[in-house]
Amino acid sequence: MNARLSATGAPTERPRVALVIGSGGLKCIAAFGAMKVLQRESIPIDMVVACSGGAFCGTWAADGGGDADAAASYFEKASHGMFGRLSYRGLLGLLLPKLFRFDELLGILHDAALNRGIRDFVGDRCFEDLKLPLHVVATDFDTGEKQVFSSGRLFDAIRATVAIPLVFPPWPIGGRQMVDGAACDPLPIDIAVREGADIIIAMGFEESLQSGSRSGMDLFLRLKTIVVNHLYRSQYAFYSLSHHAEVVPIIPEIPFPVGLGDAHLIPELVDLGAQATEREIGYLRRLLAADAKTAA
Amino acid sequence: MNISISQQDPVTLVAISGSVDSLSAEKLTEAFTGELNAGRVKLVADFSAVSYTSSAGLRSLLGAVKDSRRLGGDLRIAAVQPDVLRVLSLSGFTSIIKIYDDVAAAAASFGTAA
Repeated sequence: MNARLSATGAPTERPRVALVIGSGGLKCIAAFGAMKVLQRESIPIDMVVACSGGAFCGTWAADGGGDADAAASYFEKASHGMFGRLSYRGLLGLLLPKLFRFDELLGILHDAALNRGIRDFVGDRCFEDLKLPLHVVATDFDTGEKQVFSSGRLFDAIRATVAIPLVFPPWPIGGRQMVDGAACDPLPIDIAVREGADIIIAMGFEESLQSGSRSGMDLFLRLKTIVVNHLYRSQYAFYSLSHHAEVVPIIPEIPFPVGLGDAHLIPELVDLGAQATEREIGYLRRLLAADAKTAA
Repeated sequence: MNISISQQDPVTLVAISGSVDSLSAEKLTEAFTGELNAGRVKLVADFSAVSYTSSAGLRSLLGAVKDSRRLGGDLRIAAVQPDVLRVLSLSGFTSIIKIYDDVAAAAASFGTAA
């Protein structure tokens, strides 16, 4: 890596490191495994960027991290029942839109438990209360534009970015309806680039395709998976190749399907996240050491 | 990272070992540029001993692919290890670069579809 120079030409301190946690539903819990390894190795993190399910670990990491196993256990307990309750109003509206008046602001799952879970996690805290800068990506449902939240109430940003269309209702912020950040930016490396990161540790997840579709909803989710996976790869490719920042991808190999209600898989996901990070840790160490040497 | 260059006319074989990353990308770019400037534009990168590649390494490869094609040749990659292949696939390289199982197949490809 070239030495980073200040405006006066003097070498600056170590590179700015960003942790990016992409979308992936419950798979994002693997990021706690990644954090375990990064903390053990004292890899410095200067900012966190997160999308969708990644917002939970992202918020925890930006708050200074800590015992990653304990945090994963907390989410294992908290996620029980968080995603399970069907909204018959939403479901009927989806199946028989004219008869039951389809409303785009409804989802097929009730969000009361989800909202409670997010409130229990962050309370009324704001981005400004965290130890590190955190940027959470959501999608403006009306315009399709990307929205990046870096200030204000954490609850609103997290609730917005996890609002999987049709599954959970969108979340209003500033008069706009917000949905899942994965719809526009499933691996938001671009935000880390914009915020001046030199090294971007990018943890991403491809959704696994379910074979066969037993309902229209299955079909829709399958199509969404295909589109988001391609968007994820395209964005990784573009931002890796178009900018000087060094992108270190951490892509856990998860050989089984993971649904929102599969909380029992959390310990295994944490392990897989740690394993994927161990594969990159040698390079991260060399990268930071080389940069320190250059700056000296 | 180590680089060893040999001629297997009409192909130039660039055997790379170690990690192709931001700490070594400049060396790799220089090696490719040297060959291209000397008019050797049909390049095969032997990746059998490449253990890692990062975004800076990918940028170096992409630059060499673009330059070699502009000059009427190509850079083709052989014997990529699974972990490296994952990164090449994720970044779209497997769509835009010709990748072969081994060096012989990559070198032979220039005879048929150069």
